[in-house]
Parts: sequence; structure tokens; C-alpha cells
Amino acid sequence: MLNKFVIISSLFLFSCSSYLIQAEEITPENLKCGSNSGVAFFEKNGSFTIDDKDFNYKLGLIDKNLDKSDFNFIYISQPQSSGGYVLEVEKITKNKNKHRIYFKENKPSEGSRSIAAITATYCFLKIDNLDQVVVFIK
Amino acid sequence: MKNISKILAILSLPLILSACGGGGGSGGAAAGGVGTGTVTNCTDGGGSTHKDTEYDYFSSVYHSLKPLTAVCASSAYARGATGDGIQVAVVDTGIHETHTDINANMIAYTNGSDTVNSDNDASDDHGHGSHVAGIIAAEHNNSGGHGVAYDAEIYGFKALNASGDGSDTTLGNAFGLIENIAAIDIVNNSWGTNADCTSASSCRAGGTTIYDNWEDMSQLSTPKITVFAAGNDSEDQPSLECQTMAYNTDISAVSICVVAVSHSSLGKDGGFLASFSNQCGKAASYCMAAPGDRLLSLRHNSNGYVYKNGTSMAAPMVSGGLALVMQEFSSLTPAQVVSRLLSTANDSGEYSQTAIYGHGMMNLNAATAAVGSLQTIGGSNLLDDPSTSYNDLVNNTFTSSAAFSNALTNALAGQTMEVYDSFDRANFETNVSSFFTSGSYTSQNTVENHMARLQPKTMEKVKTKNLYGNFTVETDGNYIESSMFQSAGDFLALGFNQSTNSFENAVDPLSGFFNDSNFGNNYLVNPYFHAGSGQDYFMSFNSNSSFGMDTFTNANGNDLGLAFNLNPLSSTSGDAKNAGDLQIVLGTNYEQNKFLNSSSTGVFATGDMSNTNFTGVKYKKNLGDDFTFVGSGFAGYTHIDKASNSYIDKSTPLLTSTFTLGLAKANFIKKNQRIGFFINQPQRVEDGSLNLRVPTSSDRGRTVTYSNLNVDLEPDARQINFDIIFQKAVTETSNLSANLTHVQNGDHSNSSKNQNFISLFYKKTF
Repeated sequence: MLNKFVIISSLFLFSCSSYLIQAEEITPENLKCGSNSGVAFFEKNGSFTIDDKDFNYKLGLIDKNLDKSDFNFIYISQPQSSGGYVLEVEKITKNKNKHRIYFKENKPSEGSRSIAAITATYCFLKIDNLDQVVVFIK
Repeated sequence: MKNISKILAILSLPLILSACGGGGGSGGAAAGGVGTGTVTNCTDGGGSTHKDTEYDYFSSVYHSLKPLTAVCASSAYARGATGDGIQVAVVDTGIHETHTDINANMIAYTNGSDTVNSDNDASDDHGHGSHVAGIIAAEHNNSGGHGVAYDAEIYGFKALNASGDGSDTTLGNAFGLIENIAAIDIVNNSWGTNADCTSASSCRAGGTTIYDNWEDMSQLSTPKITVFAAGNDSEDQPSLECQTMAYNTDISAVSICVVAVSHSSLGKDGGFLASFSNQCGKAASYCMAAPGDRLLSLRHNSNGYVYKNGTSMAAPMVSGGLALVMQEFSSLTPAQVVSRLLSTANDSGEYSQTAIYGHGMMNLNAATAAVGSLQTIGGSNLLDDPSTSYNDLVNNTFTSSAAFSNALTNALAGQTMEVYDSFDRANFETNVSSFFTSGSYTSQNTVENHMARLQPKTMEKVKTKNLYGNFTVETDGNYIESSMFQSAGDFLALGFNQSTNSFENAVDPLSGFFNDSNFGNNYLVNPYFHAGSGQDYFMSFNSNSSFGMDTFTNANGNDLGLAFNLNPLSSTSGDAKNAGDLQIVLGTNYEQNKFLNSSSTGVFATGDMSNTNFTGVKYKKNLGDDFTFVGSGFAGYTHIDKASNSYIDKSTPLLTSTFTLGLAKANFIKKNQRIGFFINQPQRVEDGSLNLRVPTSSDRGRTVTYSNLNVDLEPDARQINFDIIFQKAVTETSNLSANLTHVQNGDHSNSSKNQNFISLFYKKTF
């Protein structure tokens, strides 16, 4: 019975996400996360790579003194109704040329007191040999 | 093998789950405005006239600041309200205190002002607090716009961390610090808790340190006004802090909850409640709306600017508005400042929905204008004392005599006093001169007045004569316009509504030619009997040609005058007669609520017994057959009776004078032609002053301070009239008159232009 289960599981793994088994978990070279309530910062949100025309603009909105070469990927969450949200990177994996970035956005704790501005969380990252990126957020 | 299989099976489960599971996106702010009504904008009282020396509020710069336009801020600026002298605490993520657009308005960080890191450096590591502070008090320096209260000062407190999050401890401790800083007037809180409470105790349970210190701040002898954002959860109830206002009257008396609207020119919601904003809900009685969508304000990490959305941005709009009202009205308590801003909000149309907008959209034009009627204060210097009396402005008047109106105008120029709104006794500044109207001599010489005197009368004049004397009655319909009785032998005359001229002409042969009223000026008559009010009574008694007595009363003004006339040269002796006719007049005149015919009401009223003692001389001498010299001079000494509660506090006696010199020639060129020339100085104050004690300031303790204005009543010039009069009797029933008048320093004012009048009249009696 157990042998059958192992065989079925192995077949599933190879058919569904066989590459994950080979995925390498990596650590970003640079990482900066925070939240910002500037409208221009979050009106266009989501993922930005260094090839996007808004990449440097978004960096500059956070800190114009940031060294652009320190980052090659930006993720900006959808705006939230208040401050107190914290975005963190749970893990980053790489399989072949595809990076998978797992974000977790923590809500303010119940009953906490937060700024009453529309706010978005963000993370700026630098990942070696970044090519394709898939973002997961929870 | 079995073991390997087990390990593979266990390891594969999470991989299966993670590999096949998708990432979830988080929800954004809820959409959908609630408005269905008609959005009405406040009416800005600015217009093209609302400018100051530094800045035109209607320039393109001002219009680029749409949130300020939406609340009609320029009206407040035009009235001088800029937030100057008001201190606002910003409890937030800190402030970029060196930003060049706010550094001049920053108060140095106080000890412990960073309650997050427990240090004294309340710098901003997020950006939210800097933006909020800029909305309140970014400088008015033509750079990047300015705050609502651009001259207010900012105390920065960092009680929210770099994520925009705070705790009961960090925020409550900030309140504790603020409680002990007396200078802070307003506390802005662009933060909140997304929770509900249903009683004071349950609200307190949401954060005891915040609640207790907030309550303490609200219970100070001079409580601090707190402003809270309603929150951005698109809910029908605001934040926990706003809900707290509904359950604590000490707090609610000095607190405002703020929801956000998207002004039509700023966002898609067209002036309705912003899609993200909570509604006022149970805090509606303490709630109002302000622009909170796309407000431009300060960045925290440069000298630049950034747009932000939220009730966080609406709250500082209201904090700034409170600062303007607070500065503008020093007489209002903090609770009254709150009440005024709420009461004057635009609550029409869409904004009439109380559950959504509370009192409505903030309107700084209405908030800095009178709500009720403006009134003067009397009876007390305490605004709320039961013995304090108030009088609408129209009931406070002073119509001054031309004898000193020029001096009064000069003395009161630029002088201001306070008046108070009947709504809440908010103090308004007005020019003292606005209550004063000047009498004018020169207006007597207008063509219109000449013509008015010559108008054919519709009245019927009846003259009768009997054993006792002459009766003259002028009627208009059934009404007696004037009447006069002149006894046989001229020893008694009684008159009603007769002019002083006709009265004297009847009994006094001195006047004659020069008192012809056709020429307008009663140059030779007693100037202290102020006839002309419409119900004037005269009586003259002449015991003989050397002694007489005149009485005068004015029914409207309840004046009472008495004069004794001595004619020392009058004699049957031919030698004495050649010396001329001399009349010496001694008299007194009491005026009720007047002096020198200057009437006043309300807080400028004078008492019942202002009194002028006067003396006068009239002289007439015939020089040959055709020439007659006439001269007269009067001087008076007036004591002003002070009325209770009057701003006319005290005075020195007023010395007044008037004189006339004239020469007439009969048979000028031809028979039946007369010509006269005379010089006259109308009544003028030669010396004297009065002291006006007017309210000039008031404080939040509701106490009024009065200031003294010493008014020297001597005019800066002396009016002299030069008249040439020519008369020709054309027929028995018609005559021709010509008059040339030159008026120098009209109304005793050296700023008056000299005036010249020429008139030519033909008058025929049918």
C-alpha cells in the first residue's frame, strides 16, 4: 500500500511541478521593504523589473538617493485603507531562469492604530541573474 | 525502500500543495461613492477685492490649491486669518522639520516627542506626518502651495512607526506630553482604530492610555481641540476614536471627526464622499467633511511634494480651519471654536445627509463671517455676564455737528473697536468711524437746497389780525405746518415750527435783510437753539425795547433753551439811538441725548442733561442813509452729560464760537435795489475733547479689554463764508435775487476744496 502511494506521489510530482523539486532557494542580494502612501507610488502597482520605464521613478519616490544599481525588482502591493501593513519576503526560489518570490503582507493587528491614509506596501530587491519572475502574495 | 517511500511521501505533500496553489492578491480600498444629492460649493467672499499686499488669493497659485478653494479659504485670509499665533500638535509618524516649506513654522521638538523610540527626535521615517503637517501649515512663500493655516506653528510628535502603526502606549504617551504643553491649541490625529465601541467604557477599553489622556486634555481649563480622521474603510461608522466622541461629553465638546470628500476638480467623485472614506455615523454631531482626495503636501525625505489620499488628509484640513477660526476670534473658547466651525459648515444638498457628512462640508468663508447679528457690548466687560447688554450695530449711531465733525473724522481715522456676533460673541473688528456720521455746513449751499427753499408752497397761509395781535397759520390740508402769534406792540411772540429767522424777524427789527432765508444761512441768529426738527416751539417776551427773553424747546429732542436779551443802547434818546442797536444775549440750552445738536444712540449715547451756556452779541448801525453795518458773535461752553454704559466716557467742556460781519447798501445803483456783503464763520469748536472708551480686545476667558481714545474736537481749519447778495424789486409782487458765495475750508477742514456758488432767482407771487 505504501509503495503504491509513493509511486503515485512521485508520478504527480513529476507531472505537476517536477521542477520545484529541483528549485533552489535563494537570498536576495539587497532587500528593502516598507509602506508608502504617495498616490503616484501606488497608482500603478504590482511588479516592476529594471527594464520597466517606471522602475527608477518608483525607486526615486521612496528615496531619491537610493542607488539604482542596488535593485533590479520592485513589488508594490495593492493599496490598503490604512498604514500598519507590512510586506515581507517569505522566500525566493529559482528554477532554471524563473524566480518565484513569495511575499506575505501582514495586516495591522486587530484594534491597532494606524495612519488613515491610503497606503501600499512595497519591497525593492536585487536578485542575481534575474530573468523571469513569478510573484506570490498572501 | 519502505523508509525511502515514506520520506518521499511526506516531503511530497507540501510540495504538492505549494506547487499547485496560486498566490492571492489583497483587496484594495472599496469603491463606490455614496452621494446621490446635489453638491453645492461654498460661496467664496473673496472676489477680486480680496487681496493683501503680499499675495493675490485669486491668482493661479491659489487656484492650483483646489482643496483650499473647495473650503473658501481665501475669504478667511482676506479677513486676516492665517493661523498666526496658533499652535497645532501633529501626532503622527514625525515631521520632516527641515523641509524648506515648513521649517519656519516648526517648533523645536520637545523632550520625549518621539514616543516610538523614546527619544527627542520626532523626525519622519514614513512620510505621512510630514504630509499632514504641510496641509496644516506649509509656509506661504509662493513655493509649492501652502497650508490651510500657513502661519500656524507645528509641534511634531512621533507616535507612529515607520509602517504607520502605533500603540496605545506610543499614542497615549504623546497625548500625555501634549497635555502639559499649555501653548498647544489643537491636536491633529490622522490615525485611528478600525473598531467599534458602544459605550464610554468599551471605547476606553480600546486604549486606556489614549482615552484617559485625551479626556484629560479635554478637561483642562483651556482644553485642547482634538481632530481625528474618520478612517478609510468605506464603512458607515467611523473609527473607534470618532465613535468615542459620542460617549464622552468632555471629549466631544472639543473634538471633531473628519470624513473625506473628493472635490470635483480633484477626483472622480465630484465633491461626494470619497469612495474610501468612512461615514460620520454615530459621531455625526461632532463630524464634518473636508477634501481628502489627492492633496499635495510635503515629502519627508526631500524638499519636494507628493499627493496622498485619505481621511488622514481631510483631518488636517479641519485642523487648519480651526486654527484660522481660533486666531480670528480671540474671544471664543476652544469649545466655541469647534462649535462655530461645525455650525457654519455647508449642509445643503448632498451635504445635508447627516449620517454621512455630519454637519457638512467645511466652509471657511462662513466660519470667519458673522453668523448672527453683530452687536456692541455694554454694561460689563464679561461677554457672558447676565448684566452685559448687547445692541445691534444699527442702534449705535453718532451724528456729529459740523462744529467738530472734521476733528472727529481725523481722530477716528484708522481706529478700530470690537463688536460681537450674537451667535457666540465672536469678536469682530470694525472701524470706530463706521458709527459716526458727519454733519456738514457746506451742504447747505448746494443748488438743490437753494431751490428747495424757493419751491412754491402748496400750503395755505392765513393771516388774521385782531385786538391782541397778528396770527399767522400755515396749513397743509388739515395739518398746521407752522403758526405764529405776534402780540400787539410786539412784546410777545409765540411760534410753532417757525424758523429761528422768522421768529426773530417777528420781534427783532435787528435781523431784517440779512436773515432773509432765501439766502440760506442763518448767520445772525442764535446758533445754540437747534431748530428744524419739525416740532419746535418758540416764545419771545420783550418787556420793553431794552430787555427781552426767548425760550425755545424742541419736542423731538426735548431740548430746552432760555436766553435773556439785553438791549443797552436802546433808548428814546436820539444820541443813544445813533450809537446803534446792540443786543447782548445770555442763555443756556439743555439737550437730551445730544450736545451741540450732535445726536447719538446706543453705546455712543450722551445723557439727558448736556448743557451749553452761551453768550452772544448782535450789533447793527446805520451808516448814513443807505449803509447798514451788522455784526454778531456767539460763544458757548458745553458740558457733555455722560450716559451710563456709554463709550463716551468723559470729556472736557467744549468751547465754541461763531461770528458774522456784514455791510448792506440800500438803493444800490437804482432805487429798490439792495446789495449786501458779509463774512461768516459757522459754529466751530475752539477747544475741548472727549474720551471714547471702546472695546478693543477680548480673550478666551470671555473678558473684554477696553481702550481709551482721546479725541480732540478742535477742527484742523476754520470755515469762512463770503457772501454777496443782490436784490431787486422788479414789481410789487416779484423780485430778482442774485447770490455769490465763496466757502473756504468747508466744514472747518483744510482738506476741503474751496467752493463757489452762484445763484440767480426770480420770484413772483401770484
